[in-house]
Amino acid sequence: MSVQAMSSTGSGRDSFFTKLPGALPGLALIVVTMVVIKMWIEPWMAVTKVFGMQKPLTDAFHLNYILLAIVFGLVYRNVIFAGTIPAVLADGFKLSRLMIKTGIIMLGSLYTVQAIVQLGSMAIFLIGGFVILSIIMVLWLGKLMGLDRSMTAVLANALSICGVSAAVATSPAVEAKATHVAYAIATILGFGIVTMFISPFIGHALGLTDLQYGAWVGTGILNSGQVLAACLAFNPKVAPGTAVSVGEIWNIMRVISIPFAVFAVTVWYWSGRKGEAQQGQQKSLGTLLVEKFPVFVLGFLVMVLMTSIGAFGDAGIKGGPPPSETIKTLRLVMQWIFGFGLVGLGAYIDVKELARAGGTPLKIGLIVGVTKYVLALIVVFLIKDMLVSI
Amino acid sequence: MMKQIVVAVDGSDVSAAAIEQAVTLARQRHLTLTGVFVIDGNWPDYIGNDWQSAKGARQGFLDYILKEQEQQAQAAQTQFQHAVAQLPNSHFSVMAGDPTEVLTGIACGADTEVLVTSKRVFQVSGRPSLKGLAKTLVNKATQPVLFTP
Amino acid sequence: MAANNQVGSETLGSTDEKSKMTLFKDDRAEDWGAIVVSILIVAVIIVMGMK
Repeated sequence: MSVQAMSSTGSGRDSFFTKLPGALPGLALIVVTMVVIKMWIEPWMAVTKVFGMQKPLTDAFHLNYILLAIVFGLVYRNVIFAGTIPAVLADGFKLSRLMIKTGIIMLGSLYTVQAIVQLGSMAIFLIGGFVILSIIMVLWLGKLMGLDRSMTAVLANALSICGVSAAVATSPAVEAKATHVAYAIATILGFGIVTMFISPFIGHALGLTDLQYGAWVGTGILNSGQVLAACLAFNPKVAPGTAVSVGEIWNIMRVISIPFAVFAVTVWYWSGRKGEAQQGQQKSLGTLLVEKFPVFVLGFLVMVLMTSIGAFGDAGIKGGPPPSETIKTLRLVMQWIFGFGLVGLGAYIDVKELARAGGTPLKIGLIVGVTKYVLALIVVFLIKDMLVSI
Repeated sequence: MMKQIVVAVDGSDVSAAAIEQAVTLARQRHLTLTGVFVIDGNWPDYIGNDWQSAKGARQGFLDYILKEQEQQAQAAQTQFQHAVAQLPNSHFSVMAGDPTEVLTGIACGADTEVLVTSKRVFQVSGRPSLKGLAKTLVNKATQPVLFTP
Repeated sequence: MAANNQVGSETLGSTDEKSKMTLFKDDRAEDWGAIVVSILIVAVIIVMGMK
């Protein structure tokens, strides 16, 4: 009997700039898509009549360029490309993450340090409360439904902090099985996509302000990519006080809390397995911070600092002078960059994976996800007078 | 071209029945038996929606999943070796890629006499869409495929 | 056998660059890339505003 391994070979050492030309076809498709959406589809939606209704696509369904960008990405992958992004376009679509990160860093120009402190403390209060609530719910439901300890730990972080990123960060530390993680991710993404499309609709129907809406989806939507999209779908304007400026602070707070949450859940996981060999899995908080802290958040904070010292002129904060031309252009560029990024993000949603999600992770995910989503809305309503606008 | 019997092996109980069938077929037809395990290369794409993970988190996760799949490949190989101990011609291959695509390629290969596979093979590697692997093979295979439960 | 498939970061099941999800070396390099791109965009906007 013989044994052979088959694997493709590649240089694996090419630099970003060497690979960039190969990314141009995919990038071109993304850019053309956004140009078509912004220049033709959005203006068409704003005037079109359907079944005698005046512009129902924008007024009733609240479709805007952000939701369209995601829909186009979804359609590209799942319909036109039949489930797999073609190799010639793949590298271009991989740039979507770079774009979203760039957009988030530039989003720092919406805040002053004072605004960050005000919004951040609100975010800590709401996120903190909901993290504790979600973790308790997951631990209880996991025990009730007989879910194993490692999967419970992954779901606890994924459903309480920020979805896929938290699942990815937690799984190795608690020895989760690939199949379990896969089902948890499918559940989170499926739930996130539904909430991304219905939240703007609910928000407008209930007459929520940008601040209330941002606080709600920032707390209630499981996955961070979908928080960003849901905020921009509610109000595509990028300016201080808009939904995205509020929701994104919630997102940043969630991202920052990942290493701490991984540490806490890992300690819980291993505390229940005393006496077993730990195989070097349990890492110190310092190691986790170095490994799992996303550096782009530092770029965002530097941007906030520079805005606070007036490096880009007036930021257009509420009650202050209008924004400078630099700030206005920055915000316009951000809208495009987020649009580009979200076309790519839409293209990483594989409907056939989501359609086959199931099992206990789906049950727990739905129970905790829906509870969080509804409860966050109720809490935001109850504390609406305490929310501080920027 | 020398034809061969190919069996999808993942080290689980479901693939044990498939190997048994494949061994019987290989004996009857005096053909080479090839066992195949596919390391699922679609995981990076599967978590593509996660845009904010830091270096250690994402990389650590993928390395962790790979390690699990390597262990699975090892278990598959051991399972195959035990089952084919008395067979004169047998090979075991570890391939990389999307298991559905790899098996579809084998099921359409000119040198494949029969592909033997469990309907539930490779579900150990995770992604929910692998539940649809058998259906895809039914629709796309050009060579005979023998399914076991 | 599988153990021979030694692969690097983000290259599950293959040593091919295609299975990497970023064009950068890794995610941290991508973060730095995003910081550099932001600086470039801001610089271009400021320079264009001066004209």
